[in-house]
Amino acid sequence: MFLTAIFTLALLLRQHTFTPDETAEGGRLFQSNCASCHGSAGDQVPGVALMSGKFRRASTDDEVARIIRNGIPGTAMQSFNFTEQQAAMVVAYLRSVAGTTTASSDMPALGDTSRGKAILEGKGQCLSCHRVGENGSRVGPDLTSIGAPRPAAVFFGPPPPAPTPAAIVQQLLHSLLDPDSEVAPANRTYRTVLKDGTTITGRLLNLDTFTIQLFDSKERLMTLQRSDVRDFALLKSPMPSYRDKLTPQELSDLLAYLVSLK
Amino acid sequence: MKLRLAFFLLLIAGAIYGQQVPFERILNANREPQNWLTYGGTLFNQRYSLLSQITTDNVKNLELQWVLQVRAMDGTTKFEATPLVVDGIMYVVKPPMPNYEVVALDAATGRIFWTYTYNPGEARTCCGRNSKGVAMQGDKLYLATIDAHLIAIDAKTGREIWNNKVESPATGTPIDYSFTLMPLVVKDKVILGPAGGEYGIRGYVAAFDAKTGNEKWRFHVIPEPGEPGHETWEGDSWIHGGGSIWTPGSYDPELNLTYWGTGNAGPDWNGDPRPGDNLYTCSVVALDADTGKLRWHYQFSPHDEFDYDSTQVPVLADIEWQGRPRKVMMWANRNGVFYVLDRATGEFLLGKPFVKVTWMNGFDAKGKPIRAVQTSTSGVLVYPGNQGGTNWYNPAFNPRTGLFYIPTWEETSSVFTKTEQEFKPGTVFGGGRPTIPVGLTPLNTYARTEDEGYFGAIKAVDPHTGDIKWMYKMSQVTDSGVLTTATNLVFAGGREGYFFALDGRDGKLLWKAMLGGQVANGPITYAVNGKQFVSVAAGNGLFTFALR
Repeated sequence: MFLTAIFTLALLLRQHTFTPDETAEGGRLFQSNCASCHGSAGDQVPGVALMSGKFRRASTDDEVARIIRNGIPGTAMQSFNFTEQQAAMVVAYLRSVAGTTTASSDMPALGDTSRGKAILEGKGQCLSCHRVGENGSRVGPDLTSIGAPRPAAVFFGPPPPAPTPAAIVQQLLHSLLDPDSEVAPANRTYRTVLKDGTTITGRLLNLDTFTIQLFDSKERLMTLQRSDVRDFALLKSPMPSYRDKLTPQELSDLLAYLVSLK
Repeated sequence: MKLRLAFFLLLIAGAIYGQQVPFERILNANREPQNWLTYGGTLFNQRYSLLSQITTDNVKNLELQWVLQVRAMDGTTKFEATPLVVDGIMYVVKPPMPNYEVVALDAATGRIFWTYTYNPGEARTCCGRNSKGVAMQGDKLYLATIDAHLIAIDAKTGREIWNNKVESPATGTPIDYSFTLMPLVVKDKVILGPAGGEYGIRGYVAAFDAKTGNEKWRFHVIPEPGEPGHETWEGDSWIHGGGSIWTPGSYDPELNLTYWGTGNAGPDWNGDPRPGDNLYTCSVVALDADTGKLRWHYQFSPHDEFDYDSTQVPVLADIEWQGRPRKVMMWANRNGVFYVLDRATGEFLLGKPFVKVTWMNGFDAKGKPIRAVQTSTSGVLVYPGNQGGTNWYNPAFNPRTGLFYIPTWEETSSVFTKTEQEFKPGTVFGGGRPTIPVGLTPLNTYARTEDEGYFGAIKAVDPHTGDIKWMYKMSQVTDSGVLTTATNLVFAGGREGYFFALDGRDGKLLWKAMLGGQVANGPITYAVNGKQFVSVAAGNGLFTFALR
């Protein structure tokens, strides 16, 4: 059982996960190609609810993608000239709307919480940038309740369902393995070079026509006048990928601890 | 020498743990006048600043730097919060309309770094969903809410660290206990108390561990059977005795005493069900800061029937008194009388009306007031009126001019009519009604005053005699606090919407600005990179000025 869990995680480490941009692209493809029959909510064909997370004729994501590309002979469901990647992004979109990023069997295995805590505080050196409760640095995103579901904000209309536990785990794993691929606006790091040569690096809190507001690497809230600034640039995430830094077992333990932080 | 070493070690400890505002900074707040670390600037609550860039000569050159907007107020909720300023960052709380928003902003530009939001649960507030500000110690801000929560917030990130519901006494209903004050930080404790005296609560002052939020001590304003002072109540009247805490206390580190003003007894306007002095309502209590034990008290309004809450900030000063230095407390009370007490012993040193007063006509040998009027079911006219000669708005003391500045309501009176009333949970426990001296309109503005015989003023009192040295007269009354500086300036405002600067020596008007809404907080002053600012709330905005 334990070995199976590790094997599942190892598979996941190789599997592609979808960024919000990719999922959004899937949404655009769906709305421009599929919504004319299925409706924008995916429920206009009687008996078919594409955004429910369940598909009548497919049990895996690959099967759904295959139906999109090949159609269903003898029905109104035509084939679409999508690449595999495009079809997969449409599925990712349907999953995200349903609140299930993938079939539940894809939930990565969670290891030991107390070992994960030790990794976070020790080998992982996570507290040099992150904070849990009152321990650690405030420079990076606060992890105190990182395992709690956070529904996406919506501009109008009912909020989407909160992410499932599996989706939270996937998201955390994605951040651990590929931290720079998706950084929330509130967590983006910028380098500011002033005209006098001073360089200030920090998280961007706010900016307007005249000022830039940062939380700098020394945990200071500061305002810079744009008239004093020579260069202002988004940096790659300072967080390293843990793909090669931790073993699958250690990642599994760390995930277990992170999802326990609520 | 030992003290110096200890202080040095504490500084080192603060540096090691990286705490931004260890208590030693608050204790010595007068050494860093560029910051504003407590409600009244220091633990003495004089609201006196040593900053000297803005003077009586150049104050006319003040101009607006920035404005912080909040959601629209209703008629009773006002922008009462005093901001804190720490190393260029201002922390201020917007009133809960409907949510609290604590913001950290750049004190020089007004731009917000972060916002913390809290949606309070059900709360019954007699007098507005108000907040007088957040306190700070270490890296934490402390917000006390109208649904009786004490919340710790990370001052650097705005993240909630803990959020504790404070247990209420089993008197009245829990929603009647509301916090509207800025808590007071003393050493490792956060101290506060609830409003709710209009609903039959049993008031208290309680201290909480600044790190964990766990309660460390509690002083009940109304003593229970067996405790000293309980004999000033009859029967079960003590259970709903009131004694709200509306404003923060003060602290004397040498005496290790923390001083708190207490609110009215319940029912407000009929003392018949509660014969006796009704300790410790309408009083100042001096509590041991470590244990909460009562060291002394002085009751300004024994057996109050006129809603004369002692809801003022105790102002502490070391002054010469009759030829020798003395640790005193100065107090302009809602009951219209200015007091000077010895803050080590509670000894009554002076009491003199600062507005028209008819409820008393002098003091006995121990400093207890001699009551001059009795309430009745057919009504009795009393000066000052129900809102008092002053109220919760902070006064200021300027050691340089030697004067104590009071925002006053002049010539106001009420007709108090008492009625019988039994306590019913969830209803106003008033026992009568006063006529309201000054009308309130729905538009957050106020009805005519001056032509009806009453008006507002800023008054300067000589604390050695209680004599009025000067008065700056306004057409309407005021809910503004007062700020004074080492350059002899006095800043205040009023319901008319003006914010102004006076010469603290003679009350002459030096500068004014129309802010378009009533001033209902205490102004503060601070400096960022050598530039002095003055900040005041009026209507729905916080307005910040500096020299052009």
